[in-house]
Amino acid sequence: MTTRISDDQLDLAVSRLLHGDSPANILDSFPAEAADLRPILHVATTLETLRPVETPAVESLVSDRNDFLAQVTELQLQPVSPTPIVRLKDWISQQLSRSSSTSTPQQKEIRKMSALILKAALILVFAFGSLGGTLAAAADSLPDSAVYPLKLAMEQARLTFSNDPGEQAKMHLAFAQERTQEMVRLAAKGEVPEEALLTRMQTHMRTAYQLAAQAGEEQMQGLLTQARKMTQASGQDLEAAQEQVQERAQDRLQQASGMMFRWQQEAEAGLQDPGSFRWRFGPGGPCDAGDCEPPFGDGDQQQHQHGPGGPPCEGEECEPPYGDGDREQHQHGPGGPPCEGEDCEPPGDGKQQQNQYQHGPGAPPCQGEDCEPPGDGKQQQNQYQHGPGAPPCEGEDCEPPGDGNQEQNQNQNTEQNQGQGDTQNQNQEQNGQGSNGQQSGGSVDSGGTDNTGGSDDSGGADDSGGSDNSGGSENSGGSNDSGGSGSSSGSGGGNGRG
Amino acid sequence: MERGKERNTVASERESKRLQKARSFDRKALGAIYDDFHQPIYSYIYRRVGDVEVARDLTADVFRRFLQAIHNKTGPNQNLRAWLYRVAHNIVVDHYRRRQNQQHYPLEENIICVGDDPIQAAELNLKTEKVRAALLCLTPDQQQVVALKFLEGMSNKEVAEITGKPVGAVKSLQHRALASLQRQLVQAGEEVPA
Repeated sequence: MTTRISDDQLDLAVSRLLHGDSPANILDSFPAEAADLRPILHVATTLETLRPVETPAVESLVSDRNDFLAQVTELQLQPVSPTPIVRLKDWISQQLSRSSSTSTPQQKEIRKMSALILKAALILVFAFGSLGGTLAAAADSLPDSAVYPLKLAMEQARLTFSNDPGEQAKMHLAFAQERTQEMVRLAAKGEVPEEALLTRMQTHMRTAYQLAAQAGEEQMQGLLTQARKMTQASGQDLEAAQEQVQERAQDRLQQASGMMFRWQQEAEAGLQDPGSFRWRFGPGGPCDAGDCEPPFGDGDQQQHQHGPGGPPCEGEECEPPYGDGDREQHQHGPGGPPCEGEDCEPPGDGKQQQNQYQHGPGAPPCQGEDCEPPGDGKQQQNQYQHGPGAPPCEGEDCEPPGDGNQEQNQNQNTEQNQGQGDTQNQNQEQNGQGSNGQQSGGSVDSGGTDNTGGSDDSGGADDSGGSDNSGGSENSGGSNDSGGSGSSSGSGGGNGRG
Repeated sequence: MERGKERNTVASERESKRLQKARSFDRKALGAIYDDFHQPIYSYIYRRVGDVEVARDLTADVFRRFLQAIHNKTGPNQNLRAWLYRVAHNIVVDHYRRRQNQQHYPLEENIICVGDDPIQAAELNLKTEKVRAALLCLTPDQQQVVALKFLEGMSNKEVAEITGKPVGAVKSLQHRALASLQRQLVQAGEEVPA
């Protein structure tokens, strides 16, 4: 039950009382409410009796303070691990108190929420607004743009978030097509598309085909049909663009066009013979490691088909991959003679094919014990890649073996010593490369450089090791190398090993 | 007016800095806080409970909670005074609730009041105890407003800050609290002019 006096009137009367005004004066100010106000003012006066405070003894106060400081020390030693929410709240509070430190305490409470809302809104606007704009710009960007990496990242994200291999294959095809469009647009701007662009396109195409090779029959047919259409359209675009661009860009577009043509042929061949397609692009197949990618240029194409040092292919010999010639190449290695009869049978498994590579390019198919690997798989691979006449190697495997690849080189030499025929074939390969000019010369350089690097590195420290194995053989290998090096200054280091 | 605002701002910034130091368990800052607020908080509690030892214990409890709060990163970021008074009020209410349970008293809404128990009221000879007992018959919010305004001498604005209520609500609480106190004191035999 309240009195007839209002809250404000009562508050005013009480305030005057608390400020020392007498009750009589106050009641005079409120004659109409005096009857209600009088007992209330009396109660308010009565409360004064509670105001006196009995203070504790000084010792008690000191003791209490010491207890408090002891608690400070105790809590200081306890580990603090507030929850992330508490930490976030703390951080937000600190930020807000910083930003509103000039306001009065009461305003702070109001501003705290408003600042939070305002900040959140601004963050959302800037984050999503600018990000959306940037993404939109990136999606249409070219390799010379600063946001182009974002475009590639977005593509990668799309691939990552897709669990369906069929969908991924379609995406790779679309991305490959996008790369060709980028080349066309760059060339139209008067720029020469970088080789990295071609590499990306190739990677997308190869991955798409690898995924297609693992898909079901029907899905693979669908993907290959799509790939055929896409490669055809892209090839036409690239060819059409060649006429309107500079000469240098023209060459690059021509390269890309050639690649697309090859991929188109792969797709057509896959549609006709799905089994071979699966074998080529399936796991463990020759195209699984990217060895059978359509090459960048005509010269490379010849090299691919006949191996380094082989004569340029023409006419039927240059027919696309599903011809017999291609399989022969894989069986005999680059530069090897065309195989016939049983030798041309497709390899039963990847291992057999690998063993053939172990004996060096151009070597006859190995059988039985001869096919046993001389070391671990890595050595075999390295040997294949670094051996004379091997296709140009890429990546770390091509690094000059100054990093302790001595064993690898020894194995390589051992392999060379296993048959003079191998060595002779290698020399032939190198001579052939020399006559082929710059492209094949690069191949010799890589092989020669490896040998040189290996021997230089091991020459001082591991001479004894070399002689322990087969010093004489090494010398003979060295002399053979030197024979080959006559055509290439890059392999001059091979003499140094001897 | 402007000067007053500036003073408030400076004081607020100073307190904010001190709290930041306290949050990192700076002994000097914590000691200064204790020295500044121990006496007012003790007085506030003593006026509510009327016992030195109890008031000491409850005051120590207030500062213990403060340390625990900054240790857990949940303590006050600003207006430490209001925070401490709020904690003190809660501790007093808890104290009476615990005591009520121990003595099988009714719940707080029907807390033992001098008007309800004439025998006990007869035992409370001292006027102050009568008033304090009458105060316990109020709701916790009313008790807090009366204690802060009439015992601690705070303005409506300060009371509003501590209680977290608008000034209008404080005035309303004050009105109802005084009317209720009047009834309690009348029932307790206190002479209240009509």
